[in-house]
Amino acid sequence: MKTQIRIYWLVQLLGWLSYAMIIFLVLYADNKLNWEKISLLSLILILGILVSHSMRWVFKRFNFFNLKPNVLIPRLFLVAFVAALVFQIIYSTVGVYFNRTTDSESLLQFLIDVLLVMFLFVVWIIIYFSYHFVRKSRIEEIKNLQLSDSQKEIELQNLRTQLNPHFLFNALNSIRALIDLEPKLAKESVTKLSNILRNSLLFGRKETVTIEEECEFVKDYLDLEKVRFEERLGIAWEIAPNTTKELIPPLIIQTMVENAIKHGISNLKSGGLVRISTYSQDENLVLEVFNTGVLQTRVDTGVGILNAKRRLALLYGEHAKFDLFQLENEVVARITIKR
Amino acid sequence: MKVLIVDDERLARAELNQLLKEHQDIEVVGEAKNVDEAIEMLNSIQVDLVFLDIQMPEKNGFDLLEALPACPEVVFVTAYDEYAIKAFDVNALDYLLKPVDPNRLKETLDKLRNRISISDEGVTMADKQNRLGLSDRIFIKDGEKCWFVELEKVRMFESEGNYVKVHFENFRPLILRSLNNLEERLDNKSFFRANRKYIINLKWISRIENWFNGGLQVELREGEKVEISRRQAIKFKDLMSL
Repeated sequence: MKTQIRIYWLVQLLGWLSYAMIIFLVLYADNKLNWEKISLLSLILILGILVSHSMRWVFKRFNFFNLKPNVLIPRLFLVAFVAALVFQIIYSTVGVYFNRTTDSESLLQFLIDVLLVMFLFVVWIIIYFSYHFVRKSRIEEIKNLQLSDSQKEIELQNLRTQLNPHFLFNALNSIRALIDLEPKLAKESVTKLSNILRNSLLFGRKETVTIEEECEFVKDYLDLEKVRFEERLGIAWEIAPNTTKELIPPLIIQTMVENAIKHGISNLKSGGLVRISTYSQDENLVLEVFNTGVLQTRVDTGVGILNAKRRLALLYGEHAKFDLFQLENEVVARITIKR
Repeated sequence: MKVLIVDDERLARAELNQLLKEHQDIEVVGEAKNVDEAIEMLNSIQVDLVFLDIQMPEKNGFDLLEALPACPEVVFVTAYDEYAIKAFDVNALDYLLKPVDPNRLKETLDKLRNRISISDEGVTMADKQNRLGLSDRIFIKDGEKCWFVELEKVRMFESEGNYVKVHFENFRPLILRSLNNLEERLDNKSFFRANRKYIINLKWISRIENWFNGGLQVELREGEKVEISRRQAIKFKDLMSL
C-alpha cells in the first residue's frame, strides 16, 4: 500500500510538472515569458494537484471503484466538470488579482476555459482509473490461479489415496481362509497387504512415482489377487528397461490393473491373462494393460477409470490421454503421456 | 444331510468345507466352481442342501436355480450382494455373509434341519418319476424379484404368449416356459390342464358348476373362475370320480 501511495504522488507531481513545463516552453518559444506568466503557471501547478487530489478523495469516499461502467462513466464526467469549474473559478479570481490587464472576460470565454480544463481532468481520470483497473484485475487473476491450484491439489489428493475397499475386503477374506489351510502363505499375504497399505499411504503424498516403484506396488497387489483367483489369473510383464525411471502419477497402473481384473478376469469362468506393458514411442510414454475378455459397452465404466482420466487431465492437461478398446480377444487400457 | 458347495473361489469353498466339518450330520458330497459344474453334479448325485455363491463368473447363482426343474434347499453365501438378497421375500430363504461366522452357520443349519424334517413327510419329486409334486419348491425370478414357491401354494398357471404367469398368494410373476412343457413336468394327480390357457391346482378348487356345451366351470378359493373345456371335462370327471 505504501508503494501505491508513493507511485501515486510521483505520477501526480511528474504529470502536472510536465504539463506546466510544456506551457513554459511554449511561452518561452513565443518570447512571452514574464514573472506574471510564471506565477500563473505555478498557480496552475498547485491548483492542478490540489483539485485532482480532491477528485481522488471523492472517488475513494464514494467508492467509485466498484461501480459498473454505465453508472461510473457519467459520474466521472460530472466530477471532472465540477473539478474544472472549481479550478477555473479559483484560477480566474486569482488571475484577475495578478493580471491587471485582464483578457476578455466574457462568459463564453470562461466556459471554453472550463471545458479545456475539464479535458485535462478527464485525461487525469483515464490514467488514474486505467492504472487502478489493471492492477485490480491482475490481483484477481493471481487469486484465481492460487485458488484453482489449491483446488487441484485437494482433488488430486482425494483421487490418489483411493484404495478400493472391495479389494481390502476380498484380500482379508482370502487370508482368513488361508490361516487354517496354509499358514505360511497366510503370513506372506499379510506382509504383502501391509506393504500395499504402507505404499498407498506413501504414494498418496507424492505427485509422481517412477514406473519401477509403481510396478513393485502392482506386483504385491497382483500377488494378493492371485491368492484369490489362483490359476484363473495369469500375469505377464513387458516393461521396457528404458522406461523404469520414468515418472508417472502414483497408482495409475494399479487402477488399470484393478479394472482389468474386475471387469475382465473375474467375469471369466476359466480366467485369463493380465498383461502390463510400458514403452516409449517417439516423444510419448505409453502405459498399457491388457486383459482377456470382451469390452463391456455399458456406460458405467466405473469410478476407477473416471478417476484416472481426471487425474491425468489435472496433471497433464492436453498432454495425456486415456483409451479403452478391444483388440482381438483382449481389452486394452492405454495411457499416452507426451513428454 | 448331503451338501453341495458352489463357489468360484477355491479358498472360499475350502473354508466352508472346514467349517462344516464341525457338524456331524453334514456330509459335503461335492464342490462345484461354476454353474455348469453344479448342474452336472446335481443331476448325478442326490443332494439335500446347496450352499450357493451368488456372484460367479458368466453364470450366477440365480442362473443355476432357474436352470433346475425343482429347487433344492438353498443357503446363499454372499460377500456383499445384499441387494440381491433383498430381491426375496422375508423368510423365503436363509443366507450367510462372507466371511462365514461359525455361530451364524450353526443357526442356519438348525433352522434347515427343522424344515427338512417337516417337508420329508410330503411327497417330493424323487417318489414321483421325476414329476413335480405339491411339496416341491420352484425358483422364480421375474425381473428384480425372486421367489421360492412351494407348489401347493400355486393356484394356477396361466399361459401368456411365450410366458407362463404363476398365480400364488398375491403375486403373479412370469416365467419363460410353455404351458405344455409345464404340464409334462407337473404331477398330474395334483395339477390339471383345464383348457388351452390354464393349468389349475386341484387342491384349490372350491366349487364346480356345469357350463355350456358340456364343459365345467370351477371356482378357486381365491375367487378366480376357470372354464374347463368339454374335452378336458370328461377327463376331469374321470379323475374326480371314484
